[in-house]
Amino acid sequence: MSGATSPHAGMTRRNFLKTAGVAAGALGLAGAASMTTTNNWLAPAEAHAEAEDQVIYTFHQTNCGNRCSLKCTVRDGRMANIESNTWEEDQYSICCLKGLSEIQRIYSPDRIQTPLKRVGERGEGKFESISWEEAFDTVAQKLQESVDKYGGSSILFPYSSGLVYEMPLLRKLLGAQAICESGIDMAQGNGLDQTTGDATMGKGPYEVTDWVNTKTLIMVGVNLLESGMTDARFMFDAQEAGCNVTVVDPIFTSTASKADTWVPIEPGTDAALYLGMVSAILDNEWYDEEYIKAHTSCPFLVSTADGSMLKETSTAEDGTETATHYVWDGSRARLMDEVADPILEGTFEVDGVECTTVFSLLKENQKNYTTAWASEVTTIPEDQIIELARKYAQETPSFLLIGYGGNDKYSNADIAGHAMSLLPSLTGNIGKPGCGAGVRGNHYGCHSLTAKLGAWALPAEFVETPLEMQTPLMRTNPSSVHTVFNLGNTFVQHLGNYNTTKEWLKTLDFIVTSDIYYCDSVAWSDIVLPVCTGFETRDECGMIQVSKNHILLQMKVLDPLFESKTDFEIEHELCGRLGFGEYMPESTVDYVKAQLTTDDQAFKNVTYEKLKENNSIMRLDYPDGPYVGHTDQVYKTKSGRLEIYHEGMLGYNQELPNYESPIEAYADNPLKEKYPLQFVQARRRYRVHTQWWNSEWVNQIVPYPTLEINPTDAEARGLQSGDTVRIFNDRGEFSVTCLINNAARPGQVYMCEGTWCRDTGGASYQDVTNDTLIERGKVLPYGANIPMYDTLVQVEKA
Amino acid sequence: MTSGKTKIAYAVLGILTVAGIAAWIYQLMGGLGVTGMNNGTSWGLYIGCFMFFVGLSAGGLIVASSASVFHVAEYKKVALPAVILSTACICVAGIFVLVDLGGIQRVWRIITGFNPTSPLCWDICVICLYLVINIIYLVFMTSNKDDADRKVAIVSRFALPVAILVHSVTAWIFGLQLSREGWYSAIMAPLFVVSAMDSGLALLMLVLGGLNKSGWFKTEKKLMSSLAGLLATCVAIDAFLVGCEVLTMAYPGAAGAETLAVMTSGVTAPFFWAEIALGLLIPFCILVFARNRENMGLVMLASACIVIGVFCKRIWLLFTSFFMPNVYGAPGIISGSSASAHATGMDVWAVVGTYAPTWVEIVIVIGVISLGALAFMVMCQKLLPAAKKEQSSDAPAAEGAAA
Amino acid sequence: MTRYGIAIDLHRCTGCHTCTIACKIQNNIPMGLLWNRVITEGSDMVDGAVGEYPNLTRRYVPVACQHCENPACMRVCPTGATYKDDKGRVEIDYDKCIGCRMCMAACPYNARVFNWNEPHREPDFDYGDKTVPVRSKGVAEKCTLCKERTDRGEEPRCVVACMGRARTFGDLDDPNSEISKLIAERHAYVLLEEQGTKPQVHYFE
Repeated sequence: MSGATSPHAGMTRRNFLKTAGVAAGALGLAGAASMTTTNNWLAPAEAHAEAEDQVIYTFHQTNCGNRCSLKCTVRDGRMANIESNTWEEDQYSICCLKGLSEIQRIYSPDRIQTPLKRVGERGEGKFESISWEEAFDTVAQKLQESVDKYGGSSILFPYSSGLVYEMPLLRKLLGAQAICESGIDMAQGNGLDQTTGDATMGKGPYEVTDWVNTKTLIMVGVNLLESGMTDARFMFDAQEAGCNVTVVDPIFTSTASKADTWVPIEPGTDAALYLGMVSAILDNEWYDEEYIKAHTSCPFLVSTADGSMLKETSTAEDGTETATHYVWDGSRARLMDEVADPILEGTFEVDGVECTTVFSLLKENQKNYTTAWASEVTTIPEDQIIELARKYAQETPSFLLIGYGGNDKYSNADIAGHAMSLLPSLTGNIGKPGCGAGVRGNHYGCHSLTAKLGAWALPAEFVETPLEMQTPLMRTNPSSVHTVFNLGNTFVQHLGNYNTTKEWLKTLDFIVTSDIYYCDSVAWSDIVLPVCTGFETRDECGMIQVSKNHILLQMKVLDPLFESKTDFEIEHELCGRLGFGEYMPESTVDYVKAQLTTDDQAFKNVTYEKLKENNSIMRLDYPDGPYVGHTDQVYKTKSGRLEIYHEGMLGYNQELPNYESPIEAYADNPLKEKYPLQFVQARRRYRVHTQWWNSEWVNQIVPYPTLEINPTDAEARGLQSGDTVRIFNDRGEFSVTCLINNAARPGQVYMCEGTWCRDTGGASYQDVTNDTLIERGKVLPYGANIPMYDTLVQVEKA
Repeated sequence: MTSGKTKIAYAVLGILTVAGIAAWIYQLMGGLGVTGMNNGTSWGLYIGCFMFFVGLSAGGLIVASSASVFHVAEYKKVALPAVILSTACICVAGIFVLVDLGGIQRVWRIITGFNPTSPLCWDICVICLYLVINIIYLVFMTSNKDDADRKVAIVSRFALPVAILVHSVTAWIFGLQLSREGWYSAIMAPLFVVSAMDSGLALLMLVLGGLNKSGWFKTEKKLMSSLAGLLATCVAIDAFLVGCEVLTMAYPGAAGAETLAVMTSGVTAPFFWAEIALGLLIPFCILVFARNRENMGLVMLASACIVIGVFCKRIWLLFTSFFMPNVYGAPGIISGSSASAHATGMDVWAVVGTYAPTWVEIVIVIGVISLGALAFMVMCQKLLPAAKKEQSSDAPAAEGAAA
Repeated sequence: MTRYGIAIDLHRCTGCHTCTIACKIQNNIPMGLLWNRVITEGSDMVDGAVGEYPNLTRRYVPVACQHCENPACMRVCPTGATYKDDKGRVEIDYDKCIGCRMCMAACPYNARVFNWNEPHREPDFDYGDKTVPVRSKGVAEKCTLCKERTDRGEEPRCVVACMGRARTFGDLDDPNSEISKLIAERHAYVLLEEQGTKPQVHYFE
C-alpha cells in the first residue's frame, strides 16, 4: 500500500513532462509511463504507486572552477533531487546553490527545444523551427562549402570554457581554427609566467588546501568566497590555523568582509602596490639573499649598454631552449652553475663590455617606485604598504593570490603580473608548503596539473590550424575566417566592445551555434542546434574530467529533453555527413575508454567500469596531502631559475616592471570629464558568466542584474535603488536597474558580468567595454588582453 | 410590507452580501493569496475588522447590562436595540475570523485539538459565550412572561463581565505577543475595553439616531444627551490610555521608540493621527460641552468621528507591529504572495512589512458588514415593537399573530 | 532527552544562500516561499554593507526556525498543530493547521511562511525527499530541522550543504556533543534572547 502511505496521497499531480511535450523518461521506472499520460487516473491502482527513486552519480559541468561530484535522484523520469556526493575529500562533497538549482534550470523555458533556422536579419533573433535532418544537412553543406572555397582554416570554433566536450574531432577533421578564449583570463599570467616559466596563464601549481600552512595570505583582486565558493571552507580552515588574510580590492567584497584586513585600492593600480612592496622589501633588506642568489636571475649579468643578458644558449633535441647565464664571482664573469656565491650588486667589465647585475638594475629601477609613490597611485597609506610588504616577507610562509577578475582586465595587467612575481622571487615564498603566487589552480590545479589523458586517435593528417591571430583582432583585420561554428555564448562573453563584434558577425558567410539556452550569441546564428544539459545523454555516459587530483565521470541522468542532442551526437552526425564517419567513435563510452587508455601512472587504477562502481569519482594515484609545485626550485624558464628580468620585453621598456597606468581608467584621464565613472563587471556567486540568469531559483534570491553604485555617486545623479539607469560612453550604452551599495567604491560602478541582453535593456554590458589591445601583446606569451574593466562610463537615470 | 426605503436598503445590502459571498468563494478557491496579506504582514483587513467589530458589539451590551446591574433605569429604554446591535456586531466579528482562516475545512480541529494556552482558543470560547448571552438577553427582553425582568437582571450580571472579558481576550491575542513591540503591553486589554466602549457607544448612538429617523425606535433626546456624556468620559479615558502607552513606548528611546516612529511618522502615521484627531480630540471637544450634547447633529457627528477614529486605531495598532521585523536585514522576509510565486528578485522579498488590501478583501469586508446590517435590520423588525408595527401595517394578518 | 539544535559560525557564513536552496530542494518548497534565508544584517540590500566606504562591516546571518525551547508559536496555536517533538524539534502537523496564522504573529523571527496559494513549483512537480509531506494551500510551514533526515540519523540538509562548513548539528542535551562544546567554547549566543524563546539555534563568531 505504498500509494496510501505516500505523502502525495490525494494530491493532484500536475505533469510537467506532458505539458512540455517531452517523451516519457525511458528509465524503466515503475509508474513512469502512467505519470506521463493524461489519463493516469484511469490506470490500474498499482500504477499510482510511487516510482522507486533511482540514484545516479555524475558531476556538474560548468566553468566555475570546481567540478562538483553530484548525486542525482530520478523519479518518474524527472530530476527530483540533486545533492553533493559524499566523498571523503571536502572538495568533492560539496555543491553550491548553482548546482542544486539545476533541478529547475534544466527545465527552463529558455531551453532551445528544436533546431532553428534564421528567418530575419542576423542578430534580429527571428527563427523558425526546423528538423534535425535539415539542420545537419545545412550545417554540413555550409562547412563543406567553406572548406572547398577557402580551406579548413576558414572555419573558426570559438567555444565556452564551461564545455566538457568542444567537438575536438570535427575541428581536427576539418583542419579548422579553434579557441576557447583569446584575450581574457591570462593577462597577469603574461607577466608572472615569464618569471616562473609556467605555461598556465598565471595559475599557480598550488592547492588551496595547503593554506593551513600559510601564515600570510594576500589576495589581490580576488573575491574567492564568491568566484571560488567551493574553496571557501579552505580559507576559513586556514584562518583557524592561524593564517592572516589580507584582501586588496576596490570593492568591499564578501571576501574582504571575512579577511583580517581589507585594503581598498584605486582600480587598476595593483602593479603600483607590488612595486611599492618591492621597494619596501629592498629598502629594508627583507629579501632572502641566499635564495635570490641561488634560485633567481638577480645575480645574472646584463650589459648596461643594451640591456642584453650575458648567457650561453643551447637547444635540446626536442626543441627546448636552455640558457646558462653569467654571474660575477668577485673577480670575473663565470657561468652561473660554477659560482656558489655570486655577487649581487655592482658594475663590472666583461670583455670590454660594461655589465651590471639584474639585482642592481632592479634596485636602480625601483628608485622610481618608492612606497610614497605607490601610496599616491594606489591611495593606500604608505605605512600600510610597508606593513603589507613586511608581513609578506617576514611572517612566512606567504601566499599571494590573484584572480581572473581584478587587474587581469586592465591594459597594464602584464606589468602587474611581472611586478607581483618579484615578491615571491625576492623573498623565496615559492616552492615550499604554504607558499605560492598566482591564480588559484581551479579544477586544473593540484597534482593533476600534469595529468595526461589518452585521446581518440585520428590519422596524423587531421590537425587543427593554429589560431592565426587573436579573435578580437579578427573583427577588424583581414583573416581567413569565413565560417564560425560557435559553441556557447562566446560572442558576448569573450569579446569587448560588442558593436565591433556585431559588425564582424555581419560579414561572415555562415554562423552556426550549438547551445542549451537561448542566450545572446544565438541571435547571431544562421542555424541553431539545441544541445542538452550535462545531465542528459544519449549514451550510457557523457564525458570524463580530470579535476583536483580526481577523475570524474559524467553519467546519463536523464534522456535528452525536448529535441536536444549532446555535443558528441551533433559532432558524430556532422562528421558522418562530411565523410569522416569512419574516424569517429560510435559512442561516448568508446571515446571515454580511449581517453582512459594512457601511460600516465596516475590513472593506473582507473577504468571505466571502476569509475562507474565508485559513484563516478576516483582519486588519481597521487601522494596524499596538498600539492606544492616547484619544491625542487627548478623552473621551466630557460635558465631554470625565477627570471625577474624579461629580456624579451626589452623593446617595450618592460624588462623590469615599469609602471603604466591603465589605458582608459586612470585617475587624470581627461575623458573623465565626460565619463567620470569606472565600470567593472565582477563575477558573483549567483552566476557563472552568462549562466544561471535563467535560474528561477537563484533569481528568487538575487534578482536580475544590477549596477551597484556608491551613495555619493548615486546622490550626485539623483539615483535611488531600483531606478533604471543608462550606462553609456562613446562605444555604446545599455540600461540596468541600479542599487545603491556602500560596498561600492566611489568613482567605480560594478555589476555582475555575463548578463543577458534581455535583462539590460536589449543591449549588452559589452557594448561599453574597452577592447583596445596593447602593442606589447605581440611579444607577450598569451597575446594582448581585452581590458574590459579599463572602461569609463557615465551613469544617468533612464 | 416594509416601506420602499427599507426595501431598497434590503436589496442593496442583499446584493453586497451576495457579492461578498462570491468573493469569499473565489478566495476559497484561490487561497488567501488573493488578499494583500503576505508572510511579513500575515494579518490584514479581516483581523483589523475583527478587532473593530468585537469592539463595536461592546457598547450595546455594556449599556444594556449597566442598566440592570447599576439600575440606570433610563438606559433600560434603549437596551433592546443595544443588544440587537451587539448581537449583529459580534456575529460580524466572528465571521471575519472565519474568512481569515486558510483551512476553514479543518476548523473543527479547534475542538479536537483545543490548546488551552492559545489566546485564540480563549477568544473563540468567550465570543461564543458572549453570543449566547446576547441571544438569551434578547429572548428574555422580548419575552412576555412575568419574570422576564428578573431574568434580564440575572443575565446582565453575567453579561457585563463577559463583555469586558471578550474585549480583553481579543486584546490578549495581540497584547501577549512579546515578539511584536507595538502589541506587547499590559495596557492592551484596558485599551481595548475602553475603545470598545467608546466605539460601541458611538455606533449605538448612530444607530439610535438612524432608528429615530426611520421611526422604528424612538429615543428621547435627553437620554441621547446622557449617553453622549458617557461617551465623552469613555473618549477621555481612551485618550488617557493611549497617552500612557505612547509615553511608555517613547520614553526609553529604545525599540519602542522605533515602533512609535513608524506610527507617528511612518507608514501607519495617517491612521495614528486620524485616530488622535477623529477618535479623541474632535469628539471630546464637541461632547465635553453640555450644550453640544443637546445638539443631536453634533452628537451624531462626534459619534461618527469616534467610529472612524477607532477603526483607524485598529489599523495602526495591527500593522505598526508588522512593519519592522525583529531580525532586520535584506532580503528580509519572502513574501509568499501570489505574485511572488511567479516573480523574481526584489519583488519576492520585503525588508519591511508591506500590505494593501485587494479588491477581494474589500468586497468580502463589505459583504460581511452588509450581512451584519441585514441581520440587524431583520432583528429590529422582528423584535422592536415600532418596527414590527411598520412591518405589519401592510400585512394585518400577521399583526394578530405578533400580538 | 534529545534536544536537537544547530550552531552556526557566522564568520564561516559567506552569505551564499546555498543552505536556502538546499532546504528548498530537500523539502519540496514551492516558489515564493523559503524556510531558510540568509540576511545581510542591518542592510536594506543583499550583500550591502553597514557604514561608510571604506569603514564598512558586513555580516550574514542565516535565519530559519529557531526550534525554541519555549516556542511562542506553539503556545498560541489553537489546534495543537504546532508541537515540540521528542527530539526537541518544533514541528507542524499540517492536517491540524487551520491557517489562522496566530503562529506567524507570535514568532519573533519571522521564521514561518504560509501557503497563501495552491503551491506553484518550478519545475512543476514534487521534488526533493519524497518522505517529506506535501503541504497544501492554507497551511503554515517552516524549517522542520529536516525531520525526515534527522529521524534517519542524517544531518539536516543545510548543514551538509554549507559551503563554509559553518553549521554544526547535534544534541544540545549531550554535554559531550560537538555542538554543546562549540556553544560553550565559542560563547555562542541566540537571536533575540530577550524574547525568552530559548532558541536551539545558536550563533557565534
